[in-house]
Amino acid sequence: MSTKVPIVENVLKINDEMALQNHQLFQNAGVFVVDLIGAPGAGKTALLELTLRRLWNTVNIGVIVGDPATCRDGDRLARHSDHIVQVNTGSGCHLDANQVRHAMDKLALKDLDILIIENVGNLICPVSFNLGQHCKIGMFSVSEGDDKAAKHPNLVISADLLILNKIDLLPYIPFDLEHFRQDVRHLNRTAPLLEVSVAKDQAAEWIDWLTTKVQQSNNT
Amino acid sequence: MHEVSIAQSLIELIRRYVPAHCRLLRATVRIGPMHALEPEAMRLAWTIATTEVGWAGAKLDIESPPWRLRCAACGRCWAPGRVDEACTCGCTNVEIMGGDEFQLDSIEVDTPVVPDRQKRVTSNRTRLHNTETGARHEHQSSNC
Repeated sequence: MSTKVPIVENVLKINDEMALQNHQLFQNAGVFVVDLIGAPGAGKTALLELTLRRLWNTVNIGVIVGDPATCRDGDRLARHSDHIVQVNTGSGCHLDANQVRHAMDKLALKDLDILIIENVGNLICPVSFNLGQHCKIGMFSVSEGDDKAAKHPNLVISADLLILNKIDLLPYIPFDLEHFRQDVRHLNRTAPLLEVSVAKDQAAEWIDWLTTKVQQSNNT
Repeated sequence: MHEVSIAQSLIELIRRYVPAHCRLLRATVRIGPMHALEPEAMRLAWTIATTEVGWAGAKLDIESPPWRLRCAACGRCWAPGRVDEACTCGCTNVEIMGGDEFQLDSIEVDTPVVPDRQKRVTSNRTRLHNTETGARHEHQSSNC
């Protein structure tokens, strides 16, 4: 004999509960938190290096950086900030709220204005796992091809900001920029799309977006 | 392969709802295309995760509701094959109305069974009952 038990809960409720606690801790510490999601090689770490170089004397930025293995990205970022925590996920293809909590314990949150969580390089898995962030950023690059936004609608739909990196490669790679823009707009009409070249140090819009968000966050 | 993490999270959530001494027989989830879950990978991950917690053989029913769009120009609602589909009126300004479902709907459990340890305790109590009072025995029986 069996009994049916109706439940109706989010599948990732336990992760969501932890994410909510993280969010509360971020709020209490007054730190603005973003979850940066992109494919391996999109330029996420390079963007953060640029960000730390540009903003080191105006805001305190911490980074939690997720990778399956090695501390290479953490070491790169540690040249620019003392507030870096590397998380190795092994076979895990994303960060979850619990991993972020453990990483947060190694940071002095109250000393930070911004915490950037660089997720494991992956366009699918990280999207479903809430970490407690204020904003989710989806990052693509020209070298990945112009169809990646359309092929990964879940990231585009849920992002608060979208970044297209490596636009300096446009003359050399078959990439229909207008097609890419249309795909993005079709899926998400509200998130800004920033077209940058981190390698050429052209990311002023990104720095403006980030500093504006922090100011807005401080005012509320 | 986020199916493994999702299966483990699902099991962790279900454990809150399975009464003591019951065994999970089936879970029904509703997962929209937004979460890019591959059903066969999910079933494999589920088989591994349920076996690890002693619920081997528990079934997973996956309901997959489609994307649902609404045209901002003419108001037409439809379930497209692709989320970036334009409306038949030609408008590409469409609102996503559904497809992000990610829900555990229900579980099915078997009737409670008395675990071995409790059987032994009951058995001891029964012996006590024979030599001492009947109240104690009755109390233990009601726990089973």
